[in-house]
Amino acid sequence: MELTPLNESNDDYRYYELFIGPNHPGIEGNFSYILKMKGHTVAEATPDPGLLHRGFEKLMERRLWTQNLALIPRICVPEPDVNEVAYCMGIEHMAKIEVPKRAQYIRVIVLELARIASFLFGVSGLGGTTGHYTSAQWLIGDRDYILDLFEWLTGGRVYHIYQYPGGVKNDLPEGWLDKLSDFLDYMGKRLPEYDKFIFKNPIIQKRTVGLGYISADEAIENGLTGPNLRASGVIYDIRKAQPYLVYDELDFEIPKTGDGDAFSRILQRRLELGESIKILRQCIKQIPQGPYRTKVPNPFQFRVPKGSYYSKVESSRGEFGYYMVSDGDVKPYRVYVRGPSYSIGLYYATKALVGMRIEDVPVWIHTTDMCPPDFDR
Amino acid sequence: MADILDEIRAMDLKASWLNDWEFEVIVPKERIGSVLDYLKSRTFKGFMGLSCVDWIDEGKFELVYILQSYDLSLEAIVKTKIPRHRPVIESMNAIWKLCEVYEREMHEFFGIEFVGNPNLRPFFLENWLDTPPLRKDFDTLAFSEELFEFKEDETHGINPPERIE
Repeated sequence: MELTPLNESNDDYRYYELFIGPNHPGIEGNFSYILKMKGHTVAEATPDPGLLHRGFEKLMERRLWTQNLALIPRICVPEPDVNEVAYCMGIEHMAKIEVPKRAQYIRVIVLELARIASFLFGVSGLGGTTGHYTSAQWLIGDRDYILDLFEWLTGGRVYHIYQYPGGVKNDLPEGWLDKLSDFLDYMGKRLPEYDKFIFKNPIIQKRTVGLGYISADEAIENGLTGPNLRASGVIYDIRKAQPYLVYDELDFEIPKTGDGDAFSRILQRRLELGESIKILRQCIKQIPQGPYRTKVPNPFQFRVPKGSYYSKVESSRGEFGYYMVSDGDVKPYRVYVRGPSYSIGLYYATKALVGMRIEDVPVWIHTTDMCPPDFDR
Repeated sequence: MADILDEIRAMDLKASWLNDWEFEVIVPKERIGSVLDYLKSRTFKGFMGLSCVDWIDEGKFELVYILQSYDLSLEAIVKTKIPRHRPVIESMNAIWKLCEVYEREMHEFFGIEFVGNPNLRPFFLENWLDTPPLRKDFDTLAFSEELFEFKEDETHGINPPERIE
């Protein structure tokens, strides 16, 4: 009688399958990787999207141009405003609507505040995966001040539905800018504490320095964008390279880290946070008086002229793009959403995770700041 | 910046600016591989996305490749049309390996066959046997009515006052 040998020569014995997600503290969103493991080391990683797929692109074809504004913030949960702005900018370009200066400044303020909120949310997740729970509590606590500001401005804490083709829905409330200024002062005081607590912390450094190195060529070849690309040494930011809104009137730098490992990716985000605060301070000083919205026709009659356009925004994760096609109707003919996490989450992860130890996988996922809702859309 | 468009026009292709940073190129189906390869050699190294538009009245699918040049700070939108009744096109994964996942998605949602792509297994959907769902002739309402059970009084909307009583 021949029995199956239980030793190294039998592949069924050497490898086992491990699901990381969809319900797992180490992954973001309802997304999962199916890992083929050998001992503690990943031998193969297969993304398993679809659990979160809500068919937004199809739903948008059945709704009016302006009705979609209530739908699209749901595409990226931690940073919903980029969706609204990119979508509105696309409509404005196709319908040739001029946006008043004040509205453009308000949009920049909203985008930069959302970037800070997204950073706080992302790094707090890293605190969870490294066992550094105090940082998770601190950062989520500070994010709440931003949500309070958003609630005052728009009525919504997480989803704002504040942008509208031609501008924004309401003007800034009386005294809002003063409160924003107070918040920036508070953040300015908090930043040195973060640095000491998180970025100079030996635990965080030990877990992230040297992990998941990505070279500049590799980053371009694999379609990475945003801070992940810049941390690999390719200094490219849409806000500088192809300025939209009023970013060309604002003075800010693109920080350089350039080591390409997990630590430089979070450090890149931290340094960009400093620049966001600088941008917001300038906006408070420079914002002009005037109208906050150009009137657009009745939403039921609002027809966008025939054509197509790819509008994009630099989000905290990278290039967020909307490819929109109009056939001259009251509804979009087709909208395609390019989420910044698509290439890293569905393609590059299958290469990068191979050879990594299981405890490093959640750290890698959180340092790339992946947001599965934006590809599982 | 303008000379890249002249070069493309010299290749007997239609090209036009959409704004200061973006231009579109319209390419016949047979030349798509060589044009994308050429653009990649002209610094358009970033592959940003692949989309598809279903022009049902025309009987065509339009594939849209979005490319990024980090050196020139330009975005290229390359479009090509393929017949709807037999949607077959060569895969671009020899130029960008990353294309594989984008093509896999378009295969699933539009039913386009990418020749040369080794991995066109189901991706987002599970056990899907119906029409590819992003095609224009896929009726979402009929699909959900068939899939989900509705009670008789709920099919034509719920009347709130009656419910409150």
